[in-house]
Amino acid sequence: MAKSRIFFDENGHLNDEGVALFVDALKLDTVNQIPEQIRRHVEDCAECKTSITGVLTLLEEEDYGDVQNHPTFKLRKRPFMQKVPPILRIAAIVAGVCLVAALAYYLVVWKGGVAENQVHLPSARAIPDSTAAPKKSSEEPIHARAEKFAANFTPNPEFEGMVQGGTRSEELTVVTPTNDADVRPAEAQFNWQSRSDDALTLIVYDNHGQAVFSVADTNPPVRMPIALEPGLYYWKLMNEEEGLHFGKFYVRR
Amino acid sequence: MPRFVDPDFELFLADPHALLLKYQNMITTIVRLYVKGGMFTQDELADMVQTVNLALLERVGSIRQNYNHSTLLRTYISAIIRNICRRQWQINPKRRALLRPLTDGDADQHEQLDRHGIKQSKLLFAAVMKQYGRHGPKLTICLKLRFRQPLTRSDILAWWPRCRRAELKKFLGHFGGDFEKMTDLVMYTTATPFFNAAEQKVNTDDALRKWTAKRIEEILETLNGSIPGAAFNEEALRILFEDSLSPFILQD
Repeated sequence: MAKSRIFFDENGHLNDEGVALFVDALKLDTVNQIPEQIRRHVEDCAECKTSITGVLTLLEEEDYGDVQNHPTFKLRKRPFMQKVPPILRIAAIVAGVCLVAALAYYLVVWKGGVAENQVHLPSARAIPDSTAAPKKSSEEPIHARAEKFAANFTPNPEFEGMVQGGTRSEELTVVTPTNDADVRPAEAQFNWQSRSDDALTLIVYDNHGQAVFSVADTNPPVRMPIALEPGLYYWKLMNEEEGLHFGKFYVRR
Repeated sequence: MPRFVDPDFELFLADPHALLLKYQNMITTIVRLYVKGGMFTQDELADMVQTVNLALLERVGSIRQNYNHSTLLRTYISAIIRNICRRQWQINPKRRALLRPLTDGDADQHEQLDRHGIKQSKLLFAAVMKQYGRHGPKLTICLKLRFRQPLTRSDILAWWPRCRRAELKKFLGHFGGDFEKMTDLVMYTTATPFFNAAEQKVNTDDALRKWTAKRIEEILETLNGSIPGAAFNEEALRILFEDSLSPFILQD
């Protein structure tokens, strides 16, 4: 690294070499490699800015694109990008952004199975229609039913890690359900207090990670329109940008 | 790893005349810029190029002594040529009388930009902004406030990375949309508490306005002091700044 003192004159301003170094950096896009002492001085010195910009003005027609080496700066070799016209670079960036957005939409909406402003029908875990013929208990062994019932309460390792004691946002306070609360099947109600008026999205998952209920752009309180089958459930509150709360509760008879 | 030595300097040591021959186009272009800027007449172009050549040959010894091989030689020589030309202009009273930059309000700033080259002006403005280093993000915010341009989340986070979400939302609530009709008084009164929180200071509303005004004055001095014959005022700065935000306003 060049010694900074050789770039200053007796008055503490940049000398010709100091000015030239900064100009080289501007021409070669290596401003971040300028010694800090020089950068800090120029930030606060109008006289040196004028000198630097003055020399830069004179070199406006000088092509530094062919410079491969520099005594002080490490130069990146990007011949391809330098040859690509700016409008094509912009078009490439726009195309890339559209592709990423389409992929994200596919992954979040179609693969995640959660669409905005829609209330999902419950999965097969919900209490079945009472008018339907009851399943004969003899059709399923007791121990199998017991195992199945117990499996509904098995914690989901991934979701357990996301459950927090509090919320991620200082603006939000969850009222109900608190973590590990017991809720009756038809009495699940979600309530929270928020300092902002933003409408949020609420999603409820079973312990297998399947979304069983969701509603977008909603304000509290939110009452479940369906009765959940006994088991362990997780729920999430989120705004357009990030998740604000992730909690869990149990449904018991 | 051997340090890179500019081959132009090796040529300079071996044969200074040969180096000057190599740099003649650059020297002529530089002097022509000063002619275009009104510091010399067109008739003086050839004489001034010769004056610069002779002055550089006289400085061969001092260049050998002072040049520390930290920059490209052509850039270093350009800085010396600038000093030579400015000195020649200063010592001649007739030349100083020739240069009468238009004062504020005397010229349409679009015309000023056309005259000095829109592309050149945009590049120089960008170069000036880069020289503000750490002050750049705050300067961008203050210029946006001054010129009533909507602030973005990235503007604020570039300056205050630890800005809390609530503060960010509140500030953008005031200045993230259209606030063109907001008076300076209301704007600085609203913005100052935010800046005080970010900088852990207790400044008055006027402090921010003065800081912005001082930076604008500096930028204009830098541009006008760098481009021979330039006479930009705040309107030109506004045009250049807005173009830097949406780079299709000015056509090169």
